Amino acid sequence: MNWLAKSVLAKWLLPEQCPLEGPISAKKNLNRDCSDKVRGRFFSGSNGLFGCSGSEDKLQGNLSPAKDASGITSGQGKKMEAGKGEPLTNESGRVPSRDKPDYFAGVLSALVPGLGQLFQGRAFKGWIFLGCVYFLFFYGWILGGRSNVYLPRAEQCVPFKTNIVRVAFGIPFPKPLYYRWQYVGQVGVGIAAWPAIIQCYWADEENEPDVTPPLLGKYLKAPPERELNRLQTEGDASWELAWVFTVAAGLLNLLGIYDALCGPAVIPDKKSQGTDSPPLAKGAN
Amino acid sequence: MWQSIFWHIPALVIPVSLVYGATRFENPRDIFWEAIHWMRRLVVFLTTIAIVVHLLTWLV
Repeated sequence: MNWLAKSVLAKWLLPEQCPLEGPISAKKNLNRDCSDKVRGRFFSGSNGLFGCSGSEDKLQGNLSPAKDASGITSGQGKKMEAGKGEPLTNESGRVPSRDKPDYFAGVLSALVPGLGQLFQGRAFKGWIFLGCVYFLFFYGWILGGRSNVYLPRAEQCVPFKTNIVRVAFGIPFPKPLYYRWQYVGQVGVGIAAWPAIIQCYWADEENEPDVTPPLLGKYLKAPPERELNRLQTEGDASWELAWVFTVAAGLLNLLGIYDALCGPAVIPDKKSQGTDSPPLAKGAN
Repeated sequence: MWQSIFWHIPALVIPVSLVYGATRFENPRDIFWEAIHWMRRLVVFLTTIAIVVHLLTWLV
């Protein structure tokens, strides 16, 4: 399983070939170092424009594998200090911690799933977040007839200029979200769901169904009421299932944002012992 | 049968499991194993719910 992941990383996700050059000659570590070298180039910069500084050190031969292991994060996500003033890194990039959250990466992941992890040099996880969240979101969107991610103006219910609805105990609530609360979850996927906000304020879905903003077209435009009724009454429960998929995608990205912000959850588990993870350094716990 | 909505369940279970595994580990191998564990748990949970709902439907 592990060789497969390494092969995918080195050959497909990071397509640049790794010339086996430089002082590193230990065949045992070539595969991992190759991935790091490629990643360092992929994110460009002498010190890793996107923070992959650890790989450059290894390429220069400054750190032996054993020494290197004392300055990186284990496969279990336990933190170890790389030294004063040096970033925390592991073989898959710079890993943030709860003590030192990476706010910029968190913002990037909030915009595009996995972008924060890619920024940190954690390419494998970045592609997992990007692929899985977007797959789930667009799968649900297409399954729902491209009509389940939207914000309605609901002009016929309450005039749009009274844009606030009083809910329980008189609490004010934005009317579009009141009529389409699912969007609160869907917007978690980031900028892919933002056009619904523009569409909501651009035109009324009932009286101006063909009026669309430039570039966006009808992407995430609220369907007319009769179309929604048709989707919900005809066929099976696919339309309902589909919006659950899109909401699940948005909520999953919240986990991705937290991972970019504070790193992986720490699970002291014996299962990970004996894997290819670097050994724990003395005093790491 | 062929148009059952249950065919869409793998499209939900697999990404959810992978993402959940990725939030817990850094090592690809650990991520995959955690994802497989979560797939099993989710399938068992969803199957249980489906059986209960079908039983209720049959009773009513």
